[in-house]
Amino acid sequence: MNPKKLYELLKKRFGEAVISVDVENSIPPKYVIQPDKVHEISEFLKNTGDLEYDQLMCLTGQDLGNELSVVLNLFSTKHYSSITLEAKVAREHPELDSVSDLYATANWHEREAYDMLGVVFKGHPNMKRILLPDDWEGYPLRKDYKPADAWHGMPISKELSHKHN
Amino acid sequence: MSEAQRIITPRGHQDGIILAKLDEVLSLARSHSQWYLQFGLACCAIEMMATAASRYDLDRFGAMPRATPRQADLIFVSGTVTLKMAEKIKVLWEQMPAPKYAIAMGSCAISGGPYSRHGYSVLKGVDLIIPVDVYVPGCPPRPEALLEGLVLLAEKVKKEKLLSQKFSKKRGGAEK
Repeated sequence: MNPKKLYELLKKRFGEAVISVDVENSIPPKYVIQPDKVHEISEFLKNTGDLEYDQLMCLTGQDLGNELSVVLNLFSTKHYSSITLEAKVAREHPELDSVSDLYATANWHEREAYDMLGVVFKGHPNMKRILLPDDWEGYPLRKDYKPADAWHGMPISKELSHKHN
Repeated sequence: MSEAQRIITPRGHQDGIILAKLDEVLSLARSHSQWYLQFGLACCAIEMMATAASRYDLDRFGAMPRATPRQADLIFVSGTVTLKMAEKIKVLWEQMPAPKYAIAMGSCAISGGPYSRHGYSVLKGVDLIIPVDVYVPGCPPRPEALLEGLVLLAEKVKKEKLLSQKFSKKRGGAEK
């Protein structure tokens, strides 16, 4: 479906929850949406005929400085079309609904976003770190992240490692 | 004169009797039978597998992979040591029976490599947790480099006198 048309369709159905669409600077077109409507909009995009975005290609988090954002790349295997959804969440309280019940791919991707940026996905069946150890402190892909000096007695920074030797 | 001939050139070898220093024979045998732990970490592990496969044939130096640390003399730390994995490597190392050896393969295992400055999850050198005998630089090292590392380790093992150390009063007992 034409991006402008889809934007109008979404706007009509979800109103304020759909904030903007960017066609010029983004391939595929990027729809910025409210974080509390991510699940509903994804469900609509997945289950509506003519759209049928049945595959989640990637879900990832970003640190935009003032706020965090979660980006979903959806793909329709039937219509060979892809779109991007972006939901911006507050840095202090980054929370949004999990789409892991719609897309199985989201399970691990949401855990990665949580691991790296601390975005919490409500309704996720297993919301814990995926790569880093469970007792790791901080979220490494946040721009203001400062690693600890050591983890379980092992030095982390290069300088401390040299002293250790 | 080869190493074997030098050691086993007897003061008299009639009737099939050979006189040699047990320590030297033992170390010679050990140096040509370095069984390594079948254990890989990152891209260096691919190169280690290539070294073990038919083209480079690590087996001709007496090095065979063992799938348990209980039977291994040697560990190749082949790749990036993340902090999470470092604890497991330490456990594997402690499960290996002495005398045991470690070869740090590649830049990551030596110093953290490309992750040394910003790699928050990477240990900056495996020698921070286990004693390393031979460092093989490269990213990753070619199989020839790894083979040279193994040969260098064999040279080191050959010079060891474990029994003398064990029974001498000074040292108290062989650590390795």
